[in-house]
Parts: sequence; C-alpha cells; structure tokens
Amino acid sequence: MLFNSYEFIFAFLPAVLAGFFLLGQRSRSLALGWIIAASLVFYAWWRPLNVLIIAPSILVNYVLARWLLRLAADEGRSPVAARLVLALGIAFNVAFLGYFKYVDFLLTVANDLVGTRFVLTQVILPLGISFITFQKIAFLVDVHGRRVTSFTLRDYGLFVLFFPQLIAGPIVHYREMMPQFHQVSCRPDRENLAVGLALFVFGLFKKVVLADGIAEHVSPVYDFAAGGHPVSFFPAWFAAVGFTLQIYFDFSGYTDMALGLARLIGIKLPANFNSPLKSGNIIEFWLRWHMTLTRFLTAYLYNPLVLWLTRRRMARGLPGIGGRNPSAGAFFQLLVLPTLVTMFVSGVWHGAGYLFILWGLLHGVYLCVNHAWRFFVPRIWTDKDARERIMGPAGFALTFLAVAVAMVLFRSPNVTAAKELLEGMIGLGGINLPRSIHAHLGPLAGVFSPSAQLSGREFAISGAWAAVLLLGALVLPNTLELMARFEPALGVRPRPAASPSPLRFLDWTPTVPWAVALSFLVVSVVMRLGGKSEFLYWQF
Amino acid sequence: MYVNFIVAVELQLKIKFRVADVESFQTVGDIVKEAQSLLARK
Repeated sequence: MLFNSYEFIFAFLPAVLAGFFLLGQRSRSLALGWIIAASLVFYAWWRPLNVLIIAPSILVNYVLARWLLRLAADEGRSPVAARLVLALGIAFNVAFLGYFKYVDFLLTVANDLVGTRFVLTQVILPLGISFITFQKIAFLVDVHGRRVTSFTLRDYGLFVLFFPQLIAGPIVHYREMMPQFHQVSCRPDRENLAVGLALFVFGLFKKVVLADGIAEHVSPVYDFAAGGHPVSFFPAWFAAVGFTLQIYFDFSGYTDMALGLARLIGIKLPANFNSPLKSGNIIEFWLRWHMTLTRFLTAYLYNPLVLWLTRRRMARGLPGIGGRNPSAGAFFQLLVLPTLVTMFVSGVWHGAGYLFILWGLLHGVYLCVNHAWRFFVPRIWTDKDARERIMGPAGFALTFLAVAVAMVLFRSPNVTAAKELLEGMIGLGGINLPRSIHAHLGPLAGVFSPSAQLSGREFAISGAWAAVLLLGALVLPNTLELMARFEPALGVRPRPAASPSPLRFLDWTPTVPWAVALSFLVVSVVMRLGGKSEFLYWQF
Repeated sequence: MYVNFIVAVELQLKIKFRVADVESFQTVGDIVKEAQSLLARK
C-alpha cells in the first residue's frame, strides 16, 4: 500500500488510528498488537505472498536472537558459540536477501563473464527486503554486543514490522524504538497529532507535487538515452540535476511521511535527511543524506573493518592513521580500503546491477579524495583563511556536481543510457538549443546549434522545474528545521543560532495561518493523487 | 573513535574489546573500566 494512495489516506490510516486509540484505552499491549496486525495488512496489500516469505525469516531471526541472548547472558563464557550463532544469523539474512535480490544479477554476471547460459529465475523481490534485512542483522549484532538485553516476540515483531518505516526506513535501532513503544500513552495527543499530520502533509507534497512533477520531465530523457540516442548538453545536465532533485524530494518526502505517521501515535523516528544538497563536501553530504543508512554502514561495517585492519597493522609494529601526517600505507589500508568496501556494499545494497556498484564505488572514490584533501592539502596550502574562503563555495559547487554526475549512474536504466548521458554532459552529444530560443540569442547564437528535436516549451518548463526545486533544496529550511521546536525526529532540536535566521518567520507552529497553508498543500496533492506513483526507494 | 589509542591499549594489555564497546566509549574512564573487566575475566 502506498502512503500516497486514496486507500491509505482515507481508509487504512484512519482505521489504524481509531483502532489504536480505542484499544489503547483498554491496554497498551492490545494497541501495540493492533499496530503489528495493521503492519502485516499494509505489507500484504501489494502482494499477500510477501507476508508468507517474510514471516518465516522473522521467526528464524527471533529464534537466533533468543539463542544469542542466552549465550550473551552467560557473561561471555561461550564467546565462540555466540560468534558462531551471530555468523549463522548474518549468513542466513545475507542468503535470504541474496536469493531474492541478487541471484539473477549473479547469474547475469556469470553469463557475461564466463559465457554460461543460466536462465534467470525472475524471482519477485519482496517489498523493502533490503531495509528489513539490514534491520534484522543490526538487531542480531546488537544482541551479540549486549546492546539489547531483553525482548519478547511482540517487541521484536513491532520493531521489524512497524509500518511507517517498514518498506524504506529510516533504519532504526531496537534500543531507540522499544523504550518509546513501552512508554507510548496510546491516547490521542494534540501536539503529536498536529506535528504528525503536518509532517505527513509536507512529505506528501514533496513526493506527489514536487518529485512526481519533475519526474514527468526527467524520465523521458533517460528513456531517450536508453535507446542509444545521443543526448545534447542541456537535456543531459537537466537529467542529472533533475533526477538528483527528484530523488531528494521523493525520498525525503517519504521520510517526512514516515516520521509523521509514527508521530501520530506518539513515536519519534530518527532523522534521515538534513538538506544534503547544501553540503560543502562529500563527507558532509553522506552525514546528511540517508543518514540512518550511513549510520548503519558506519557502525556495522566501516568501524569493525577499520578496527580489524588497525589491529593487524599495529600488531606488526606499523603506525595507525592518527595525527595530521598519516603515512601513505596507513592512509590506503585504514581509510581508502574500508571506505571503498563500505561504499561498494552501499552500491550493491541499493540495487543488483553494474551501475549501482559503479555508483557506490564512485562515491567511495569521492570520499577518499575528500579525506586525502583534508589530510594532505593543508601541508601544501598553508593559508587556512584563504583556503576556507575559496573552498567554501567551491566545495559546495563541486559536491553538488559530483552528486549529480553519480546520480546518472543510479538512475540510468542501462549502461547505454549512462554512457549517452555522461557523454552529453561533456558536450559530445552537441550543445543544442531549441530553434525558438536559439533565434533570440543574438551574438551568442554562434556558440550553440539550433535543434528541431528540442521543444522550446518543454525546455522552458523543465528549466523552471529545476530552478524552483533547486531553490527549495538549497535556500529554504528543511522540514525538520521548520518544525525543530517540536522535535519532529529523534533528538532534533532547534539549533542555537549566532544570529536569528531571516527565514525564522517560516517556522511551523500549530496556528490558523499554518493550517490554511497546509490545506493548500493538501488540495494541490489531492488534485494530483490517483496515478500510480511508487517511491523510488521502495524498489530497494 | 580513537582507534589507535584503543588498539595500543589492547596490545599492551593483551585483551580485545568488542566493537560495540569500542563504539560506546565516551571517556578514557570507560576504556579503563572495560579493560579492567576483561582482565578480571582472564
């Protein structure tokens, strides 16, 4: 069931809330049981068989987690057994994900590389399987690490199945969710309802009006390129920048809706986006984009890898990477290697395809360059003030361009499309303008070529979409900033500013003017609802 | 994560912290406490 569908907004959600608050008057246990049942209905709506696939895997994970809990409670007397059970659990989850998501890709790779003729299985991917699997692995690791010390089947079911974040995150930790569920009042709370509803409407607007609006202009360019047609300079850049904006508003819109839905029943989810396109470098970008995935990969992959590699190096008497003057060996072994491995996994996690892997590795390279810059450039360029003055704006522009270029790999339906678009972006597909615009260029006309294929109207509308969304993403405060007074996400509070922001007047409050403004957003959304428009991240 | 320092402590005391513990260390006192606990279990 889609958050942006009539059945969800006008039937499922009101029924879930009514049931939760009614049952909550009798007992919290019943109300939470109702949320689990509702989550199963939500998940089954798209394809009921999915529940039969996912439920056994949840039960297996629960049994393994109970086993781990017993071993962990043994005060570490059986660390090898605990490690084996953890390894078994991770292997089970990876195999489960691998079968549904990667088996066809691996067969394709074998067919491409070795010339085998495996027939693809065409297994249908259960919705949100990557998110659910990551969460289950994190839970097992947390039980093994004694960060989770007690749980019941109901708690575990609630943690894995909670419908607002079931399909596309935010990826949550048991320890940040369960205390909330154990204390939730199960009674309607005016502030929670107002904040939750406002977040949901903001998210719905971002998804249905902004993301889907620009998608109508972005998708045809990718489809055109996928056919092997050369793409001219401006449409190619529009495809790159336009998709960057589309996915930002789509996924951050989804996240706002998830935060809002959870908040309606008094639960706060962690933040997932913090205006990533305003970042001044790529390291900062990853701290502001899909933040819970970055948190997961850092805690469960990058940090253990760095720790393991550092132990190996230092046991051999080699230095670690501390200080401002790391050796080249330490830099490559302790920073480049774990970064590339982590971003490779990030790419593979996003999708089973060569382009997703390339996208992940490209971001890995970006991050390594950024780290190298931080380590090595201050030694050469010693004027710190000049460096910061120049690299502030340059870093922002460079980061945006790097992200947009990588997004071409992320969005392209095939390698041909990516090639045509990247070639177009460096001008190999010609630097053309629609005839109607070219005719008015005067002395500049010689720089560009007129094209009969490009429509002046479409060119102008696409440009306007990109300009408006860029303005929204780069200048306006984000939803969490607008609502910071009400802690819209876990731990989000107003930042003490040295000087008050000139946009402070935009801060959301539960007042009549904001109710009127949100009503306008609702009307604009309802006018566009009805078409089938899935969230981009649901495919993962 | 002051990984060099933590690994140096591990090598010196011949102990091994869990990754979860390493991530939870806020102060040197936390490291000392966990190191003592590991040494006591040896």
